[in-house]
Amino acid sequence: MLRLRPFAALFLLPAILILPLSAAQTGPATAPAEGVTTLPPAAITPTPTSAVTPAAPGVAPTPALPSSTSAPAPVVPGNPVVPVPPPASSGSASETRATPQGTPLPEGSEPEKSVVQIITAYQEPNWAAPWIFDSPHFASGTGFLIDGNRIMTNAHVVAWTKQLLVRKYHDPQRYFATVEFVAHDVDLAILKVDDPKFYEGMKPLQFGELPQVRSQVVTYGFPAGGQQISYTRGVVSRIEVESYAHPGNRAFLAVQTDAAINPGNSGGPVIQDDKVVGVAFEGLVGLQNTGFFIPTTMVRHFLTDIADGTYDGVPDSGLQMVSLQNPAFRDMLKLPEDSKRGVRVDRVMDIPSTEKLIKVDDVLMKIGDYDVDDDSTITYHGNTVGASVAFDLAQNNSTIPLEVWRDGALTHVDLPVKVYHDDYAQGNQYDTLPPYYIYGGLVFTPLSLDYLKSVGSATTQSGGRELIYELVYRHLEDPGHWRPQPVVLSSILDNEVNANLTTRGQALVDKINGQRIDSLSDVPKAFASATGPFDVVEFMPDHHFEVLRHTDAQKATPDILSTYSVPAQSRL
Amino acid sequence: MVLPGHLIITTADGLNDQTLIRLQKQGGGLFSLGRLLWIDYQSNLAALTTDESDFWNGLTPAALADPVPVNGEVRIRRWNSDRLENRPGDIERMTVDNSALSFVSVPALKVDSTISGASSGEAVTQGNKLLGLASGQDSDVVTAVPSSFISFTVAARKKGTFHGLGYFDFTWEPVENPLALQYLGLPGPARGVIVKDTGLKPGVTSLIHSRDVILQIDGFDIDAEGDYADPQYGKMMLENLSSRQKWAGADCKIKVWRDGKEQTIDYQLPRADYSDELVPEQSFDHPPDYVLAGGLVFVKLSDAFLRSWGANWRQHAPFRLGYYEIDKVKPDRSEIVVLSGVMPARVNLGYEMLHDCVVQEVNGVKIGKLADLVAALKSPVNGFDVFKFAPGESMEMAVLDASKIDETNQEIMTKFHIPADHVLSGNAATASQP
Repeated sequence: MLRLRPFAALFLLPAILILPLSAAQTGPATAPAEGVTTLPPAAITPTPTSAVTPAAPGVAPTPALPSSTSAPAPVVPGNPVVPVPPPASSGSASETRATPQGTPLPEGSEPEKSVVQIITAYQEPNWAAPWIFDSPHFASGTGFLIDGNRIMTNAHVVAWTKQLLVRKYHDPQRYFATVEFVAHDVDLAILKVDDPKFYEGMKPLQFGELPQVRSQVVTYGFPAGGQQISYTRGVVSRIEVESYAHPGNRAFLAVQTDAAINPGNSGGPVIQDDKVVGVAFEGLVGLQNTGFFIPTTMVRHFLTDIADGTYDGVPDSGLQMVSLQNPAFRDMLKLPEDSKRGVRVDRVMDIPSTEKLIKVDDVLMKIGDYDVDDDSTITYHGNTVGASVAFDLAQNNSTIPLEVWRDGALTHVDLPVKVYHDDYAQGNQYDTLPPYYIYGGLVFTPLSLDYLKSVGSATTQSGGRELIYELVYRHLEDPGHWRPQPVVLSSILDNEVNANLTTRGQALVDKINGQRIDSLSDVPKAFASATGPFDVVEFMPDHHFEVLRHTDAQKATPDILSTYSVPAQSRL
Repeated sequence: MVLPGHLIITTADGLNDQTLIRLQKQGGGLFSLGRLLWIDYQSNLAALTTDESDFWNGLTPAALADPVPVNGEVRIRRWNSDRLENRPGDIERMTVDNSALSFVSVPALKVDSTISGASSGEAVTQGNKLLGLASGQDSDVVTAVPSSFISFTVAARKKGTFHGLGYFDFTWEPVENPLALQYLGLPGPARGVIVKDTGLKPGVTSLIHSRDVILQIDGFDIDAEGDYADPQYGKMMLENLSSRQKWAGADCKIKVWRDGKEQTIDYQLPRADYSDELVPEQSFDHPPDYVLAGGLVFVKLSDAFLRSWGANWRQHAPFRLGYYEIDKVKPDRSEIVVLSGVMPARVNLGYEMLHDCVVQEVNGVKIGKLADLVAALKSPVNGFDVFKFAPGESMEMAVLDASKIDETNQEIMTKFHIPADHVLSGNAATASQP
């Protein structure tokens, strides 16, 4: 996979925003991942924080950036962020059965019978006050039946769901569904419906291959603007590695189409020749006729992964690769003069198995079965795509054969690849409730992208910049001071034991009672280790500290929890 | 304002990068050629004169109020074309504020007035005395450089005892939590302030330590809010004691509570320089420093560079570059060197899209300032110039053929109309190899 540095994108690049496309009324706040290009200063069009605006029904909200001070706002009908075109057919249900004119569907095929609307009731936690949950919201997306009585959809359609209902084509009944598998990294999920009646009259859709650029595709879904199924037709515009907005810090192969893909289309099939060639999942704000679907390359990867009953994820090569087109650089690495092949390893991540086998300045000439060109691309099914795709085809714990140019000679390396979790906090997190620990009214929680989004920590404030730097850049620039899980004093629940504290939240914790805090689990241990009458909390980077009277803070904690209706002192 | 001795005092703001100064009196008539006598951006003051003797005819030097009254009505005057604008105001207070052009704290006179946009040395007067020169305005509150400070500065300039503004190279916080003082073992009622960060002056070992409690400076007791009782102006923030009748290099007696006992520190005020900050907030009177190497353009990170992203650069500039504004100088890193962009040429093929990358090493030499890069380019590695950028950049290394740098620089300078291949500390050079 291509790893992304979310904050670089958050603050530099979002001239265009990538949105998941569930028809969320107030959907999950999602950070846009790194965009296509880095623009020179004059050309950079920043994302105003006011982009977090009320969304119309069926319109995904603009991502809430850490610099934003507002949370996703409630629905304001008739004031869409993204204009929602009417469905392809706005007539009666029977009329919508008709095959859209000009589509490449063969006669008699009725894929729409296998397409369902998914209605989710979801509730997100508040990362700044982790024991609190936002109000439940409702949103809708699309799914489709595949082999094994499974419904495929996007992960972002079912994220934080509390209840899932599915509605079949031409069937007023709603069926309860549950999530069987979810892959947040590739934004895919599998649902199950227990009621056997649900499957009556439905045929599983079959998957096709990667479509050709300029070929026609048709999307099926339940986008905003109407109640019935909608079809839109378009061509495959290009096939490239794109950022996946749902995880926020991952990029995989994606297909761009000019077929209208709108909020509510999420999870719907994109069909060509009666076969599913992709799953609609995101669009770009600010560009016209630009929707994206997840190609079957990634869908098959997901299905293969879950065959053993567990989803592992897409493994990471642990390599940052860059093009190698400069003649002097190629000369320095002693590459043959007439060669136009090879991508240079620019950085090796701290994955021991990778660090052992690959070095910076290695040149990857071949990844798996794919020759690599000097512009960091491979040819995949006739398309020029990023070389990272060759790694993304591998399953977790597999080995990828590499042809490596090193020290002026060709060598062979079998690189084991595993799923990388260490940058979890830098992306959007799902399914696991945010941990916290409360002592004397002081609320401690791990630093994460979700936390920054919750508090709206701004780049214009020095405190906000410290938090962002700690999360994203500290381990890169200052590994000696890196902490596995930086902890923040998120907020303070007011009480007389903490009334005189000057720090009220959003502060990075350095030490407690003299003990370095590397992760949240260190916090209760450090408070328990107090030997004197005081608890001392030290902050970074300016040596500020706060003092509590230990016995008072201990004694007050249960009352504080009760006063503020906090169900438990910790979730570690 | 005209002062005795054919001297015109004004604010420095606006006189930066000047190439020609002309003076006009009474809002009209012929201009006289002005001459800058001295300028100090840190304190935001400048003195002008003219060698044209006729100019002084009919001008009466102003008297400077010292001390400055702390209440009463004032007038704020300025020439508005040929009309003397004369607005009323009320003294709000004397206080301590950041200088208009610097990070240092200086005394500031606050005046309520209906005048608008007063920030260019407008005269604040009471009766026939000058109380201050306007240096900024926020809503209806005008900030002025007080006449007492002007008077002290002018006298020091005259006597040759001016050594620049000094400052306390530590940050502190008021004591709102009495437990903090108890923890530090300070007996008695809450007093003093607690030191947070120290060593803000690069290259100087601060005599003040983190967690010292500042109890007294030059005999003035410091209260828990960080104020002292000024004999002339009442409660003033302790920072005023770094500029009250003192310049950089002057001694201060600072009484601190440290390690359970009182200690008196002989503290010497460091001089405030823009280079004290990792990202200098100002750079006046010389062109921006840069180095061109085979089309790769390297600059020193500065507020001026960051402002090229516009007024809201903190939101728009690359995050990491903006972050350095709140980071500190380190012994081996006095400047952040940035590859700002690439001017396309055959030798830099493949690097066209690189921009705003933080430079860490060149030819194996750690880059702590732009001059290091110039030196490093003199020692290519096996015929190659090797540039390493900070981890996390889109590309962490670039290589150029060192033998083609000179030729390429000349080609680029001709093609893009660039007069010199590098400018360092304001000195342009046309040498082909920096």
